[in-house]
Amino acid sequence: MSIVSVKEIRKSYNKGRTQALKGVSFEVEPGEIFGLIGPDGAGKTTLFRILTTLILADTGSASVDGYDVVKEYKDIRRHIGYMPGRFALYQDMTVEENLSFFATVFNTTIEENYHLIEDIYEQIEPFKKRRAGKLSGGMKQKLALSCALIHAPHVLFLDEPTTGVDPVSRKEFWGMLQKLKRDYNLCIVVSTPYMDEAIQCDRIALMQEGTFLSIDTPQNIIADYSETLWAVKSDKMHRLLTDLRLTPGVKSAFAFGETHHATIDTRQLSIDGLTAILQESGHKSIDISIVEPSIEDCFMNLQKL
Amino acid sequence: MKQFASFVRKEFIHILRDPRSLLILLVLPLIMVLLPGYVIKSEVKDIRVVFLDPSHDIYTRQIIDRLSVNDYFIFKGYVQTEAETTGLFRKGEIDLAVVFGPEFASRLLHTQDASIQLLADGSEPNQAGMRVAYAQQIIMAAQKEIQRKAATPQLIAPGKGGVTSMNINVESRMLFNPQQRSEMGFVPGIVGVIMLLICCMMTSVAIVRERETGTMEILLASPLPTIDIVLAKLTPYLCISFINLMTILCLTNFIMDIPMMGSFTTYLLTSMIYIFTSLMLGLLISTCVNTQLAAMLISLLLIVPGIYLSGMIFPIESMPTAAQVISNIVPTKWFISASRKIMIEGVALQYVSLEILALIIEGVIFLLLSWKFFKTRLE
Repeated sequence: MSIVSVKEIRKSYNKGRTQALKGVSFEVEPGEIFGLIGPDGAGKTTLFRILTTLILADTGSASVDGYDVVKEYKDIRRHIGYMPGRFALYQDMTVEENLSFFATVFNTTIEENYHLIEDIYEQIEPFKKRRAGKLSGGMKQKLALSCALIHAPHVLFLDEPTTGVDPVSRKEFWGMLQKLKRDYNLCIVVSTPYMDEAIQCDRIALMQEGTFLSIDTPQNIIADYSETLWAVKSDKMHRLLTDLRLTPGVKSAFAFGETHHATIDTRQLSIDGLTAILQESGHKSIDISIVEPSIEDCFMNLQKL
Repeated sequence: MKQFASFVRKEFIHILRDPRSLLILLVLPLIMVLLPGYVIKSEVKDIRVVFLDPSHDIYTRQIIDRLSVNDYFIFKGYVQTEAETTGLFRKGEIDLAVVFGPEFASRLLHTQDASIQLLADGSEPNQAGMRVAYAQQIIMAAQKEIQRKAATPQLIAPGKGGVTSMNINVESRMLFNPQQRSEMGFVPGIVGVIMLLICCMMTSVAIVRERETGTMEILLASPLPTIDIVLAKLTPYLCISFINLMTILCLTNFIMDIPMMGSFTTYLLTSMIYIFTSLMLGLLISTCVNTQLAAMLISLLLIVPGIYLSGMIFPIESMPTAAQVISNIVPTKWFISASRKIMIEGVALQYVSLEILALIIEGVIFLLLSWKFFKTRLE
């Protein structure tokens, strides 16, 4: 049985003028890390708030841990851990005070479930007398995660937990989530705007403007990418993007780190032909090679369709 | 219960770790009581007085003596003409002139139309009024003494013209506040405003703060019942209001020597009901807004006109009818009215039952409205 089940959820704000969710459905299985991947404004936070019983959907139904989000919201509130997108702990209270406060709010004690948070809390324990407002971004996330975990929830909802956190802490954070899943079979629903983090999830939903572009394992989504993807480089990277887009036969082109990723209609344009055209427009040291598509490429590709 | 206690503890931590909150909650009330009570007393002291006494008889001397030995008056000598007094007023050397009519003693005894004119500097109307009223009282007392000694039935008739003349009707106000002490009238009003600031403004800000900083999101997604959240938020402010009430009572009783004429328990009961009503108003405000700034502004928008309509500064009886009607919805009005009756007039509980009933009704209405508006979700 699915631990989280969402059917045709719709939600709009401003009396229907802004549609945040345009009918999304998905299921999350126990012990799964499910990722909601999408840019800002895709509707991730709205979806989280509906699942954590904080707001009501306009239409559609959803259940968490077997309980209905509307009728049985009180039961859900006992069994979920929620970490909102914004750091929302008491900045004027110390690390220890925050943790013990949330433990009592959930009718438990730090000692009772210490094993769950041990690995995470150990890292911030040296600072337990420090006020939460004075912690670094990474430490704040660890404290927030500890507070969300302290009552041994059945499902963990993490809204953009890695936003505003340095790359090292981000990696560490995903490591902790993997460990929680492995050791305690915890179901985690997590959202992120970073496409490179998608691979950490068991299954992902690519979201855009309130709709799901695709729901699958990251591996399948990449495997479904049917086109050949080319990485293009030259000495004038900025102009190259415009030139690529203007070249007939180039289906798509976008900046991707140090190179530009492009798909090409090979019936119309060969790679040699492209090189020649680019040389004509003044580009030097042109390098075109095949690359493996990433989730971001898949997102771009799906977005276009 | 443990959840609740821990929540209340957290609330106290918030208050104790924020110096600005502490300042408003604990220091501001003291300043508000001490400032009008001690520093800017509107009572009159050291009234410099001159006398114009053409008849120089036994009765005028008696009255002059009485005024001169009084602590509140400073004898500044005699003048010969009214023009002279005007000059002294202009120079700001005197505050009051007592002008006896001609042939004072004989008129007093025979024609019964002896007159005294009290001249005061009308450019300070409040103080002038009080100086005159105080002088009138002393003259009245002197008159009674003369009356008793001479056993003459009718003595002094009101003087004619001048800035003011003797006026008996002031006596009714003097009855409870013979020295026209301003702190006495002030204290009930100040307590009323302090409680509004703490219970209404600070409480609504504290509740809204959870919403503004995003912690409400976590609290709502937790098993903590919303009623617990609200009660736990109210508790510290209830305690602080009570502490302030006690401090103010001690201050006024022991340091400022303002006596509590009525029963202490009655006053305490009335105050607790008023605190309840204010807390409910604060709660109501918090359910209507989403930012601390908005909570603060709405509270101030309610408190400031509330002060004017409460009768603290301007007597309600002298307001236009519309304002009088509106003043009935101001809880502070009922509280001030009740506490003046208890503190100054010393009446028993049944005489303030109307005020208490009004406060309870308002508190319950605010409670029900908050109940209706309070969200168990974010929107």
